[in-house]
Amino acid sequence: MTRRAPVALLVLLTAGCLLPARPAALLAEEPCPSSEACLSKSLDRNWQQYYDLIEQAWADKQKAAALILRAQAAGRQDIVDAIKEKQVKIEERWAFADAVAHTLTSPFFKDYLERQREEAVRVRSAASENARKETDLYHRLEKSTIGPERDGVIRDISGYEKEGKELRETFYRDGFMVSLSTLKESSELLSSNWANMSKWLASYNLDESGAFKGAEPYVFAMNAVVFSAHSSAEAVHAGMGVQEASQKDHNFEALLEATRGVAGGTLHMAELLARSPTDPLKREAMEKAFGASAARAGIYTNVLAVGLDTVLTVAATDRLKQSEARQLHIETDDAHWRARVDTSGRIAHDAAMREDRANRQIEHQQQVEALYKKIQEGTK
Amino acid sequence: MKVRGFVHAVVCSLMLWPAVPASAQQPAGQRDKELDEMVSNELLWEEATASVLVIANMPDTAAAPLDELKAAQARLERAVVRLINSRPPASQLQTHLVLLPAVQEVTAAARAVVDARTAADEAALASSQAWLDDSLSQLAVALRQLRQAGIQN
Repeated sequence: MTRRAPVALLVLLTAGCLLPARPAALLAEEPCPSSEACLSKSLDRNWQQYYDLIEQAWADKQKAAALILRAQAAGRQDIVDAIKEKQVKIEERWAFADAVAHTLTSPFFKDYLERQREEAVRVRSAASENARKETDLYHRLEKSTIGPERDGVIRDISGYEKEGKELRETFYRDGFMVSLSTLKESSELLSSNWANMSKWLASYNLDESGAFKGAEPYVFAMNAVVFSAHSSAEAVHAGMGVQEASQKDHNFEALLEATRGVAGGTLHMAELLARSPTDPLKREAMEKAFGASAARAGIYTNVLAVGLDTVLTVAATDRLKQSEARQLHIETDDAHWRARVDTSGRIAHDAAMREDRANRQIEHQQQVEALYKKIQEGTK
Repeated sequence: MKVRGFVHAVVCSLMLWPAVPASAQQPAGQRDKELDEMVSNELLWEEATASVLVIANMPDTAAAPLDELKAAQARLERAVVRLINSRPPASQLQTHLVLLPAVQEVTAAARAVVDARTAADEAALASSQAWLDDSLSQLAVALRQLRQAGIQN
């Protein structure tokens, strides 16, 4: 009994140990009262898993070391050997947990979470202010049905709408500038690889959909974006409206057309990457086009960055155009205003929930940091 | 008796050490293991990338055919669930841990748009569309931050 535990018991215990510790997160069928609640729950679970992983891996490492000491003191070399065999896995698990802890407590990660919180606070604050103003205007409109008071309310609505329109334009203009600038940097890298990729895919007959048969237009579009980005960004930055920039800057429309082309091409590329993922020929072609290390780590980040920046550039421009084209229309209809107040209230409420979530991410990070600090202090 | 108790404690301790999650179990050989992890992680991210871009490329989620939107959102959600249940290689931890919650947020926002459209709730639709726009911008910001930090490969 001292040396041989009952086999059946061992099997049962081992099976128990091998069962997944937690259910999978964010399953489509998981019931959630809202999408926000579901996300919140899933992120909390991510953090709990990181925390447990670090805590457990450290405890196991400590436990193994203590048991070896006790076994050595008891003169049981067989037990020492058994534990040392297990220790390889334990050390491996701890190395991974340590890397997770190191990443989550790095200044970069903390800065990233802080910026997210700042953005959430900014969005919530703007949404709350918007809801407050709309509600206030609606109440004033309800009370002032005739005479000069109503004229005053309508003047205020007009001023408020103008202010709101300008804020939206600033938001989209800023988004346009940032996306375009990043797109310019990303596309320089991607356009040369793209041309290579087309060549390799063709040589391996892997471009079944023909998406890259004519890769030249995409490469051309990418180069056109790089060429036009600077002057177009300058025009918009100088306060020129998009309509005006389109007329005065002949590069602008070409830029938009090229950007749409790049957006479409990037989506094709992403789909191609995702399709037949384990095809060895595709992997080989990718490695030849992008280089072995890049093929295994990070192509998706480039594709995602270019894809999002093109989409956001186009979306921001479209919205700027719509905003500029829209005539200032003073709507005083009661049903219209009730719907507006409902919508702005909903947006403010949802933004507040996102701000709470951003705060909670920082709290979770601080808990992991405290645990890691304790562990590091224990090793000194 | 003391030794017996000690042996029993050792056996139990060894048994109770949590098993490595299924996704983390790898074949022998440290180098092969690292390569396998990198390739698996990359494949999962490639699918997630395509899924995000399909949604991002929809010009107007309020007007897009609901079936298409639902299919795109479900595809993204499946990709995210697989990422959540995966174990990234140590060399990709920073990228994985920063981008995963950002992509989870895009998924949740897209789901909110689908829910609002299914319920024909105009206020919820306006709010969820603003959320989706914001989540895509935040994902782009996360990618820029990674690039600036020189973490991206």
